[in-house]
Amino acid sequence: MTVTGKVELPVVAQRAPSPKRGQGFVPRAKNPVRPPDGLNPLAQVVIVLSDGPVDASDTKPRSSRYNIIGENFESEILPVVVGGKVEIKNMGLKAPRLYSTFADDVVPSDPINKKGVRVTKAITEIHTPIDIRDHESVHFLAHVVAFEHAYFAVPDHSGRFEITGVPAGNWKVKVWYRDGWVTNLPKISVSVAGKRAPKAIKVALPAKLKTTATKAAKKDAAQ
Amino acid sequence: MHLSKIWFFLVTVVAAIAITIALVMPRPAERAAALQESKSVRSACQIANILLRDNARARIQLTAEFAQAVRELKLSTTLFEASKGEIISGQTNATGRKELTKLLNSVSGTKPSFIWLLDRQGRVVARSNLNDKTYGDSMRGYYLVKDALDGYVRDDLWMLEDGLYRVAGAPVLTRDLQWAGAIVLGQAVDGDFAASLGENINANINFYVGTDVVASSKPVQIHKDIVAGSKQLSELKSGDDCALGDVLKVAAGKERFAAVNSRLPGEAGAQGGFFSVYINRPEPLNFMGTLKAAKKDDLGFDRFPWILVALLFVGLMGIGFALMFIEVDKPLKRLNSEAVALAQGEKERFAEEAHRSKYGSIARSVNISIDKMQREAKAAKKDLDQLLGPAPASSQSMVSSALPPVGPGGDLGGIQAPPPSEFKFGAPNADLGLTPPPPAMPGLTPPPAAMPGLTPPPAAMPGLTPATSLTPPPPANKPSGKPPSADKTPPPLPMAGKAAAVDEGPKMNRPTDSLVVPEPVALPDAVTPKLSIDDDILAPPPLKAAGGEEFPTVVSDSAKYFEQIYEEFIAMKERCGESTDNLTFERFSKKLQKNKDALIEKRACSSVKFQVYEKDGKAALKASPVK
Repeated sequence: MTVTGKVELPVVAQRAPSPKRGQGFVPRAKNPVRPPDGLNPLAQVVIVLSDGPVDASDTKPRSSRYNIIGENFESEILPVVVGGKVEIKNMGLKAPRLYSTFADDVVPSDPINKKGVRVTKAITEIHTPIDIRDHESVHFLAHVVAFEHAYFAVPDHSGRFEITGVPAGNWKVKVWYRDGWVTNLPKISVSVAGKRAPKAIKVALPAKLKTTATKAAKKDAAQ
Repeated sequence: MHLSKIWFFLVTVVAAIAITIALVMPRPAERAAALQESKSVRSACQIANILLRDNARARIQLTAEFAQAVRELKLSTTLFEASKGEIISGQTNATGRKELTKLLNSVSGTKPSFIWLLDRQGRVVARSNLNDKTYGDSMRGYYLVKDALDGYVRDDLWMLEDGLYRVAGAPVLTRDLQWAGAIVLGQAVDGDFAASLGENINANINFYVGTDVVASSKPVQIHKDIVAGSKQLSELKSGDDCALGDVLKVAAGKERFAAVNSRLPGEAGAQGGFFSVYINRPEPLNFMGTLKAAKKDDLGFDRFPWILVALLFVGLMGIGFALMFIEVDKPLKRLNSEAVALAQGEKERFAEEAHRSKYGSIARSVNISIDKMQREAKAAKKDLDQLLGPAPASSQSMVSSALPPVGPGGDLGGIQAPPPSEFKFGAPNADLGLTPPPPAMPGLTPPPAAMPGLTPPPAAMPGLTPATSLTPPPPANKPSGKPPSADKTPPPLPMAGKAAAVDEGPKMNRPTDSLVVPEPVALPDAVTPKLSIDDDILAPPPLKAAGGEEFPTVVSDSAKYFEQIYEEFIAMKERCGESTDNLTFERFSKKLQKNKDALIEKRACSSVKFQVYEKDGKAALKASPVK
């Protein structure tokens, strides 16, 4: 069964400003015509179904395609089934030399020419963001996160998502944001049963996202 | 004597101080120049940062104006629609390029190196002036693009494949203020830009990313040193580069520069981008540098106190010469004139009080030497007097009283004085039956037989020490006579009451501590009968014989012969350089007679023949029996 839904962002007024990403000679300034909308976390969000009847076949490792579309990957985060590999294809105009700070051998470091493909090693660490960077670029960055099964989806720019092949049963909806589970989200569950698709899930993200990674970082900082 | 030395020391000290000042003097100026140089280059660096920020603001403004223009050209609608599609279509690209070209043509002044139109997803809709035919690739990865798509305007520095670019981005809105996409303007950081910036800061400027120079205002090869100096930047806080960064001293050939590095911001800065501002350094202001920098005008009479310097020079030199004249030349001249007078016999000694210091010491030393020689002469004369008796007088009593026969205890008590040492006929107590020598005084070894012509040494004089020698004195040296040989002349008689300390005349065998009695001089056996001399021919005859009788006088028939012998003897003595002052014919003849009688009695000969000869440089007599 396919589970669909939409991630709703808080109103602009409630959103935190988007994070600062470097600075030129002068600090960035708000556009005078229309001010910025604030943080849009959609590019780093993964909707995951959990606590349901997982089909064993959906836990098998599989390859995932991850396309480089220019100065970035097609998405900032790529969810994979644990144990699976990632095929990286260069659809852009440059020839990046990829690497990961997680481990030296995660991704091949030779330049990927246009239309070239490189395959990572199997991602075995679950719920651990593995970064992929480019030696030739400061901004080039993406994360690969492994989950137990394949019941996950990355929302598009409008917030819509779709999870296919979900076994019938009751599922909880969890949100992974960047490097941890969102902890301040109201409980969302979905029941998949019969032949009818369940109702579209509405995932309303809070203005300020708190994650398990944030908690751990705070704990470390406190210690 | 010290004033000239003190003056010399003072002049040397002044000269040393002057040299020190001359060497040190340029250093404050050099430090000031270095400080000024440091200030200048730091100031230029800070101005460069200010100008770059101003330029960034200007570019942001321009980009915002471009975004406004895109909105007004309805190009924003194209972007808005393109954002919805899966890909960017060719049509969309063509439309976008066309509009961009119009926009570029409308810009007066320096045109941007490139303009990118991006849709809401950050994909390139159209490019202008830089890969303008490609489109559809995503630029969203760039921080600037993300911010622009989020609604911010900002600038950045990008290191693209063909160089370093100053970029600015702004969001593009539709007419109804919907987010349509973004626009990015890029301007190259090239040589023209560096030259223009350098003119504004009155310095030179180079741009680097990592170890590569991407733009420079002056083609000088200083990059290696600049890049090496940039490593220090990581230790500084952001914004402190120009103020606190090291001022690098670099050189390219003969040109010397002072440089300061400052980090670039943005993505290029994260990739090790920085710029370096450098200015020419002047020649070092050390001593030689200062000399080189001096001009002819600096030595003109109106600027340089030549007269004062000349007067000072003459004054210092004059004082030095005056002191030298007073302390050296004048005393030396005085000493010299007195030495000449001494040599010429006009003076007997130096006037010590007239000479000071070392010259006085010289005068005293010379006077001491003169005194010493005079004492030696007096001592030699006195010894001679002691040996030969006082200055001759015509009376016999003077001769006879020259050496009274007294012993240590006074009168010898009838003991005969020893015979003349030269007038010997063999060992004492020979078998010829002549009168043996008088017995020695108790405790004393008998002195040797006196040599003819010499005064016998006195018997042990009171006060003499065991170290004193009783050997006969050497013969007096006449100026015309030959001096006695050093190894044959007996040592001199000691002074009365003193140890034998006189050291004059030729070297002689010195007496040891024991009483050394020289070997009696003996004539050969064939000629010399074994007789002893019972009297010195020059010694005063004893007043009485052993029995109290008067001694007999000389027999008149042999007077002529004795006179002849006497004359021969005198001549021989004179030839030998001996004194004949105390040698009278009367005494001589008496002596000869006595010995003749003794020889006749012993040898039973008819007569005695006397011969005068020279023995060991002295006149001697030989007696031979005639049958």
